[in-house]
Amino acid sequence: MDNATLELKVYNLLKEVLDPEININIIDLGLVYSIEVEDFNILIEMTFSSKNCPLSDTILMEIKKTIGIQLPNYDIKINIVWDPEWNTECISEVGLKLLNE
Amino acid sequence: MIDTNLTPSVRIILPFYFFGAVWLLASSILLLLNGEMLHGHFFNPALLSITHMIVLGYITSLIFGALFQLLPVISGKQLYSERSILYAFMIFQVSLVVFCTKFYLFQPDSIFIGSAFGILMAISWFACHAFISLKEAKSISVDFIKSSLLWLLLVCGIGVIMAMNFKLAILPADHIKILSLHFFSGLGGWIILLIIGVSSKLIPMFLLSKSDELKNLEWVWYGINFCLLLNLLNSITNLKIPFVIVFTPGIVGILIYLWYIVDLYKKRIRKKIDTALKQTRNTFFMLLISIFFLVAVLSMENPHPKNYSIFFILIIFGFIGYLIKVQIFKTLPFIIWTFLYKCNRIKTEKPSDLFSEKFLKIHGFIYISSIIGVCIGNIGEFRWLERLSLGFLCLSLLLFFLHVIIMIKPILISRSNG
Repeated sequence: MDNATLELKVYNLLKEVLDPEININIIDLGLVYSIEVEDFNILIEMTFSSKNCPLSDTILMEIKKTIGIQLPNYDIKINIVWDPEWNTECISEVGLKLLNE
Repeated sequence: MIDTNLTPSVRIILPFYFFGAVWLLASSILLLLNGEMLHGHFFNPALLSITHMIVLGYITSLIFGALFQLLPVISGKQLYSERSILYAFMIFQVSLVVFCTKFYLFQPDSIFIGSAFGILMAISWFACHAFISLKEAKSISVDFIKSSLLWLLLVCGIGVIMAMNFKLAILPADHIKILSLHFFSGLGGWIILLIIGVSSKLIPMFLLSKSDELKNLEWVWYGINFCLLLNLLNSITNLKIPFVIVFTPGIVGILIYLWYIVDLYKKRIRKKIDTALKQTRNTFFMLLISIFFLVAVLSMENPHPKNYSIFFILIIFGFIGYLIKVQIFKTLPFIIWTFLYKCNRIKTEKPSDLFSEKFLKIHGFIYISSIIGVCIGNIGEFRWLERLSLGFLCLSLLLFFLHVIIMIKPILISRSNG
């Protein structure tokens, strides 16, 4: 698989990772800023809805678990950034629909 | 990166929740057994004992349980000493059992004073931990939490002096004035400031909302603290500042805070809210009713002492007790779920699967109906309604207690399986 295909695969895998409080996947919640795959390394740049999110560690563990099952030979690095800061406008149209279903 | 090992062990946090629920249930049973006291003067040992059971055993216990879970996340540091918190918790519980029993039986002896010191020691240790964790944190929410901790220490200090005063008569001032200082500083300074501090952080997160009114919380902080300082001056000096001047800044402050909550609610992205958030919304109506009732009582020339008991039921059970009861269902499932997830023993998809929304609805409805029933029964002198409502209050809290046990059960099973 080429890198672009792998990045799409990771993107789809991250759609399976839910924020346990909001109950929406982290892609539609707008928490993931970028995904890069290079030489068996997966680099995810993401944020959280709050710096004080008590569930941040379980979300990180779930990301590594979900990707690790499908791509076991890849090293996963997650870079948490606070700029740009997450806000409700980051939620996708699909996310907004899911939120009020 | 985020440190994933900051959250304290569940064995530190769970006792605060479990014993908090026990104290709330016990206090409602005693209230049922002593319903008549709600018609008399508030300076009644049984009523004061029950008040301490709720405020210290339930409210303070739950607040510190939630704070100890949240503070490492806010500060980015582990708690200073988990083991010492556990020891302080044990001292707190034993001292509180002795204190409330002695108060209930009105035996203000040396053991009673010793137990008051035990409570002060344990609470000071809890507060120190919170201060250490919040040392470098800066925000309006943190300002509310820090100042509430200072008021808590003052209230506990006054409480110990009052306990000593029963035996040694050391206080020169009017006892009722000091009791009023103790009550309003505890209510406004410790509990209300803390609730505002924590809710201003959590409610926007729960509702996915943002309000421009956040900047006004600074005025709320000044208003409530100014009100409390005027009440302090009134109690320890010969100044006779009129009630209107003392309470207006505090009441205006609370109304500004309520407006901030309304604005958050109106601007929320999450239109469909869960039962716990619906019940949280109801608690703010109870706060509003409590404030109107207090204003009405303070504007009377010679209010009947039972009006203060009604205010006590409205604010302590109707607002604070109800809010904390509901917030247990927004915090405890996450604590348990996170623990089980990290141990790879999670069997549910999300934290809210650990409790039943329907069950929460049922005991929440019985609870709030019974509080309203007690107040109507008391005001209208319908003793049968008051008694019946107190009975239903006990029932709702028994169901609530069972619900807490159901939530904790997966951890108990997990621990017994090694």
